[in-house]
Amino acid sequence: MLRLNDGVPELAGPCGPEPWYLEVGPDEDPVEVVSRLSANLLGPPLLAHSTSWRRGRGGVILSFIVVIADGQAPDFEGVPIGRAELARNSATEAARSIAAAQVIEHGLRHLSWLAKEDQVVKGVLSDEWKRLLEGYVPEPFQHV
Amino acid sequence: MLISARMGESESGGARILVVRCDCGFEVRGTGDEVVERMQDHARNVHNMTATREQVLDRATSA
Ligand SMILES: [Zn+2]
Repeated sequence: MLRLNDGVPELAGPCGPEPWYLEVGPDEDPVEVVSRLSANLLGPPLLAHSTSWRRGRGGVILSFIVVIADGQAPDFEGVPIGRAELARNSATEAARSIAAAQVIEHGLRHLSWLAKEDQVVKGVLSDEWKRLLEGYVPEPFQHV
Repeated sequence: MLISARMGESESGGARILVVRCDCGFEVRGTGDEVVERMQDHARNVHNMTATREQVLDRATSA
């Protein structure tokens, strides 16, 4: 869950700086679950986008970036996001252990790509967000 | 299951006070009934998970 605070992207949400894990049942749509719980807990998000996948916790973990408006959900403390090197093993094998920071870094690179390629994302993100994402190398969806 | 597991108990005026902690940092403390209800609410509202009473109590620790 990302929002801008004085031009600095920060991670916010019910789990603060920890990854926010949601369980998705076999009959559920991951995008619907992420959007619904985000809206319930923080108010309607600007966008919710799946950015990568990996194996873990006995299943498949889909990573989502959810962007909320500046100043939205002030009750949830935000943590400024630092830049992290992406975790990679090989082209065919996902990195075994990936720090949340690296997942977020990829998410921001993917968001940078969407901000150029996706008309909906382009329309939703503020100019400040787009300027900030210029600093990230655009990357399509991938497993990390 | 996200909720971490440790078991223990303490006496507080005869009431057994338990603590259950979720991986996300959320923590509840109280009697068995209280921690079960609040952790089930947390699991459902925050993680879209269904936790049984046994699953919550299996992961309780002393206050
Ligand atoms: Zn939790």
